[in-house]
Amino acid sequence: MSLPQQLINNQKITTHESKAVTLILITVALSYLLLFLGIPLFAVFYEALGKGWALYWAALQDPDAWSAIELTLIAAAIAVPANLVFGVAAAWAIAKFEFRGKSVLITLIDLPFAVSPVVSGLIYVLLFGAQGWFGPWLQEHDIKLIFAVPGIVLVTVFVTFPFIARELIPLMQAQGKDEEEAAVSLGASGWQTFGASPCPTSNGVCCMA
Amino acid sequence: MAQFKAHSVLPGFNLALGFTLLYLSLIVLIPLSSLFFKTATLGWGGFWEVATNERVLASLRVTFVASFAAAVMNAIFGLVIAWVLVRYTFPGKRLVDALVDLPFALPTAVAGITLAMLYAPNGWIGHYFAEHDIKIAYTPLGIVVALTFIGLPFVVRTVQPVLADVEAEIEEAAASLGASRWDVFRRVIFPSIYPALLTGFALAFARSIGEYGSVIFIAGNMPFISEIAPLLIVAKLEQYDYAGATAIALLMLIISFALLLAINGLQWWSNRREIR
Repeated sequence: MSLPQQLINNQKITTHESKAVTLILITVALSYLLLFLGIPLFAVFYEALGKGWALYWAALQDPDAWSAIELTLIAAAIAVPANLVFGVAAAWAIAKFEFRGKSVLITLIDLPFAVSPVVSGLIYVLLFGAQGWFGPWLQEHDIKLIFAVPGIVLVTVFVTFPFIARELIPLMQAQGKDEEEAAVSLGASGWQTFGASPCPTSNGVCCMA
Repeated sequence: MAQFKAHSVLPGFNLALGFTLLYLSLIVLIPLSSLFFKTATLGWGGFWEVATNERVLASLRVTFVASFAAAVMNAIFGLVIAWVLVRYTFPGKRLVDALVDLPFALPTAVAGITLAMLYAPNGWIGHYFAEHDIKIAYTPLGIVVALTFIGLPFVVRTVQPVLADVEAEIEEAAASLGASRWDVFRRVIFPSIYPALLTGFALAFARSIGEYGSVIFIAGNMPFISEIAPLLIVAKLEQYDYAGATAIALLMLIISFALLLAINGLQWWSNRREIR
């Protein structure tokens, strides 16, 4: 074998898995998804439409169903932008800077997930309910918060609180801060630096759906 | 006093952190503090009585063990799914990608009822297991199934973007220096996605601890065996025992905080080691 040929053989770079490994990984991933997501989803549709389109259509005609859907959308429409602003600010502070107590801050951001939805409702009742801290004040000023739309919005904001921040932090960390530092050293202002930094928030937003 | 923040030329730290702390306090810390104050009305003795109640302890054990098991499963398979979605192409990939978000969108009660139906001894999936005398629905195993369903997107969606961001040049460099594919994964790719994987694990774990809607339908809710702590909280609320309910909630909050802090601390620590 001539030397150049040997060199080429030695330099055969493997940046892809073998066919077999690829196939195994895809099979594992798809079967797991099928077992835990695919079949349940199919079952939901099967049950919802099992008694025919007519019945499903009738259920959708119910005005109660529509006002419930409307309320859900209103709550989401307020909660998502609020948490988006928070998420970007928190991710910027956490991913781009080193400071003390970072782990504690991240953990506090995670906490709303660990709190049972039952409890998240309860704590707002404890705060704003008739017996709560702010309850009497709210009653005096005739503001209805609990058992009304603002209450629903508040709880929605609470339970979806960690989503965007936590999705953005690892991404911003992985991207590093070289580009931003370059921008600053070239004389960009604070907001210019931020605006130009890659900030794919769409991913976080779709998770809130 | 040592410096609070390492020097950085980047702008906006005070604004970003200030706003973060303000919003965090208003939405999370102040409302959660009401748990402390309500529980305090019980006094130490009352709190201790709730905290050492055997049924409460058993339910806490079920909750945390099942959440941990589900989070571990999701971390392993979520990584594989994220890998497959980022690196390979196959028919129906976009559909699969969209399917991953389903647990976020589906109301948890619907998920619970559906899973209970599927994994019951006479269900579509459950009857295969029933042949081998394995019961899934209405046992602790059912809780793990429900929590796995709930937690999967967290791992996939945190790992996916970071994995897509890993630069091909580094992999090629490692491979051209003679690293095998497995070495490249272990030494080059894994270290860069490890923080994201840990984040996904922490989120899935946290979400599982608090989960209520889906679990109660599939768990069977037998005291001491498959009764989760949030269910006990609801039971206490139904008896208008608010202080007792907040006591359990506070207990869960403290344990979750400690565990999550440990997981997040691990990530911070490994980041530090990497920099050195």
